[in-house]
Amino acid sequence: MSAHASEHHPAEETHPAENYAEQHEGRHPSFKQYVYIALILFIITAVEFLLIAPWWDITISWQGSKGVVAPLFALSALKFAIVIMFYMHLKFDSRTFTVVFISGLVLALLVGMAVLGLFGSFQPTPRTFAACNAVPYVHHEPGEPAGEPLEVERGPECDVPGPAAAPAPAAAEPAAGGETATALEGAAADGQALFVGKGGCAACHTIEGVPGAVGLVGPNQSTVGAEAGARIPGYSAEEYLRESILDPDAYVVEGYAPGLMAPLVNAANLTDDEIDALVEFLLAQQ
Amino acid sequence: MAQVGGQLPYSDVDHHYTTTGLNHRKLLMWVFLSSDCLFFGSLIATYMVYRGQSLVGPYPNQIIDIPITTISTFVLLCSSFAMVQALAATNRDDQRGIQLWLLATAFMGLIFIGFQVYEFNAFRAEGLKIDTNLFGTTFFTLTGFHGAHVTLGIVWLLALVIVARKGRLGPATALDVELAGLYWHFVDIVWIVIFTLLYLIGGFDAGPEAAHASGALFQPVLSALPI
Repeated sequence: MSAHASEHHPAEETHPAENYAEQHEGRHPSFKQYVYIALILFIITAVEFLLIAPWWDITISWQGSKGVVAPLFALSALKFAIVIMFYMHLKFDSRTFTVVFISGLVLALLVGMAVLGLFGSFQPTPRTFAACNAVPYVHHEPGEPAGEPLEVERGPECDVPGPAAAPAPAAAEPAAGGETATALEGAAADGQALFVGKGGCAACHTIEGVPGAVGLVGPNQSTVGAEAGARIPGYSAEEYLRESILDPDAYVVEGYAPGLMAPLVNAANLTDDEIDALVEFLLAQQ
Repeated sequence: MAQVGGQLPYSDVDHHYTTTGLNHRKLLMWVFLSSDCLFFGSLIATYMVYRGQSLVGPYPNQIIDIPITTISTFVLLCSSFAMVQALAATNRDDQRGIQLWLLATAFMGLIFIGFQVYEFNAFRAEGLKIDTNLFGTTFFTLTGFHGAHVTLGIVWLLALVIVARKGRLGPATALDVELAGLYWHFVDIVWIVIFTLLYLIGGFDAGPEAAHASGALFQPVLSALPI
């Protein structure tokens, strides 16, 4: 590449017309080289276009297009570099121009990253956060009072603390917004952590107000503490809950499939204390 | 002085000393372009901050037309090629070439603006206005300012065509064309970035339902960054 920068470019010396230009511009590429550069830019753009082409008609298309994000970044950076180096002849001009321009460019990148960081765009679920905290816009004429903000319907996703927060749901509650479970103490609080964390219960069972507990495979357990005593005649609520964890198929709530939970409970490998805590927690779900 | 002047770009035009040894006008142009990086950088960052956070449609995947915009991107790339030819013609003192290539550049800029007018109208017809949602606000602000830059460039180029018709452009005044060229190419590279981020990548962004299902909207971009 550095050969292009040299004052005496052999290809240019053979063309009188370009020799004239060389006297004034000195180190600019020839017409032919400009054509090559234009062709390269065209080809890169065409490649970019073809990279994303397969995802046009797929419904959740942007998920499919994720894989080409890195190549697209690289290709457009390459185009950017080619244009400033050759079309804007930074490659052949004084280094000072390059320094001036690159400084601004780098500063712009840093400012951009800072803005993205400040506004939480690096969080895993920016839109969920927006959706759960947004106040609907109500149009009103200038001078007219704005009125009360509309009530938003907040779905269960508002209680999801995000995948990284699953092992420590208690810490993630304030950030998740929405309602949180009433403060639990002692064993019951441990039980909640087990329900969402080690026990894995939350993957299949919903408990309203417990972040992360939004599963739909098993029965909703939002009020299981109140219902448990009436499931099997002669069993107390506590006895029923304990048996349901240790031997899930002994009694299966109508409408739900047997056999699914037992292997999962075995895999969770809960200690006796942990099962006590879970029962305690479930009893509190009135 | 002749020695020093011989090393200066365009020393036959500007017989003034500068502390940098560089032409003031050209240095000022680069400083301006450098600051314009921050201008567009901020607008692009704002778009990315609000990317995928619109709660009402239309969403990008419903209205962004990538094939059409790819064509207008090609046109803008072609115009950059015409621009370097205009400068080359100026250096050769090819009067006809100067006018033709400058006109060609301005014409292709006009085609690009035509595509943008068409696009904005199509979006409006689909229900996306600047106050419809966050996508509309950030999209129109960013691409609108870019379009304004292109429009200014067209006015500049046409003004140069008038100067050229009077025979005032040539090797001695090549800097006049070169500065317009720097501005024009800068507008082109800004579009390279916008085209990639808003169209090729952001053009597939869907509504909230899809985002909830998949979570991390920003992950693909993040994983591509060298951090």
